[in-house]
Amino acid sequence: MSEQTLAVAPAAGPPIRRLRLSPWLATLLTVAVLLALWLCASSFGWVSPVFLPHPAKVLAAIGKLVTRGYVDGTLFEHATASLGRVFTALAFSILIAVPVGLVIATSPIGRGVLDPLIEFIRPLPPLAYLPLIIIWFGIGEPSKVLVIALAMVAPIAIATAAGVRSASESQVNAARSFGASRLGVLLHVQLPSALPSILTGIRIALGAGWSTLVAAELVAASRGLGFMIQSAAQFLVTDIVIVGIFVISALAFVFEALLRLVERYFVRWSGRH
Amino acid sequence: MTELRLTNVSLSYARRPGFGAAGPATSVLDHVSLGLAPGEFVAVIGRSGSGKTSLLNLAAGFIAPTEGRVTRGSQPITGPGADRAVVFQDDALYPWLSARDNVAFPLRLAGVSRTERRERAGALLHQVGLEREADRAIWELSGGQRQRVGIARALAAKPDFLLMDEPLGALDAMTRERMQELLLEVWRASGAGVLLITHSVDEALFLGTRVIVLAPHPGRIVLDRSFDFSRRFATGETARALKAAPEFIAAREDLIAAIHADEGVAA
Repeated sequence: MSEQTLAVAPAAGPPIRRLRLSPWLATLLTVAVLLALWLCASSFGWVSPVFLPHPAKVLAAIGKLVTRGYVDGTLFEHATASLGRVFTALAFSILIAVPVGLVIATSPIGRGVLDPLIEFIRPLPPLAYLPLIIIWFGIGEPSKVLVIALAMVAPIAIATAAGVRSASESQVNAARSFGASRLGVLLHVQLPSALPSILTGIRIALGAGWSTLVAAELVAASRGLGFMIQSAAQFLVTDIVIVGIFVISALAFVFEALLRLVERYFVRWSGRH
Repeated sequence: MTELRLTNVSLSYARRPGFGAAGPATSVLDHVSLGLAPGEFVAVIGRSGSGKTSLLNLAAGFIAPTEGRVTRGSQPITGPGADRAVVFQDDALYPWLSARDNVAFPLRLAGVSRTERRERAGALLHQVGLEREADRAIWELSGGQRQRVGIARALAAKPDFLLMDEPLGALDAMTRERMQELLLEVWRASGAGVLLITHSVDEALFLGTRVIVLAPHPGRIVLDRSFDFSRRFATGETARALKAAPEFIAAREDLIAAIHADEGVAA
């Protein structure tokens, strides 16, 4: 009896488990190790606080930023100023880039006109065209939005054009055989099939928008995360610089996650056909 | 209703520049004439490269012939039209729409009101046995169910002609047999003229009131004969019994011989 129990027990009990690293755990560990390294570097004086302030000091800076603010604005005011610019730019670039992408994909002449323009602005670094935009449009809010929007137009237009081409020939022919005009095919078949691709383009464009933010707020801004970082950098207030970087990164992360949710909800059919 | 007719139609593609020296144009169809009357079921069969799909694309108006004419009565066909609905091999459904909205798509293009669209799409889905799947997403349906949605969508336009490009080609054998019977029911109920492209000799014989055999390189008609198996099925004979009948088997041998005639191989 006891022999039998012994023989059965290992199989019936929980399987022997080695420590298995899940992706989530790996992420958590990476963050923890980096934070610990930072803590050690500051606590043991490996690096000067001017280069890398103590984590506690950065935390305190967040508190100060939220309540009292820095250079005439609280963290919330700086963040909303930047968010306003990025999303105004996004709205305008979607309004322009989606039709541009549709034209590139459906009209050879349109493609001949617009494709080189898109390819011209696509690789330009924002700091290169910033001076020109300030000369042309002044130092007001429109220039800042325009700088960001210019970085967003190309990825959305290219993604839209690629998405339109993802409609199959028979899907297009089916609509034609049911009497759809060229515009009807575009609106009822090609635009919906391009939606997943357009959403991907918007995700890439938002990334480009955030990376353009600091350049856009370089000249004559009085609010904004990019402005806040630059002001702090001029006076070597490193803790504010670091908070600014973290806040931009956190905002970008949140909106990326939101867009992925939108994707999962609205284009569930994507890739399943 | 008037007949859909291809008269002395040839189709050839010029060699693309950039692939070596400009050779002669590739001839896909060579002087093909074919009429499709309303209520008729024409099955077209032939080896790969015999221009079966090109024939259907010409009838649908997706492409224009290099030579010859495609006409509806006295009217030349210059493009696709709602009088000739197409069912595609890859179903060509819209995955962002439900089964019902796919079927209602031609009605939406025709400006039919929303309530009437829903009603008619529901009735058509019932006709193809999919009433319970009406609100499912396309990617939740099986291959056979998707083809049935495609057939219901084609019927929604109330076409005079149904042009079907190997609609059952991707289905398993069991589903395929059931779908053949469904095609006959749909054909009888709609009264439309059907042009069916198929790879299966049995399918062509069982469904077609007329079977056309195309030979390849270039595509041309080598046999055009009438059969009555589909009418006999309509009068109550079972599919099993028909396909086992001696005259069915003899006809099948004839067709296979015609398909392979130019190969010099006894099939």
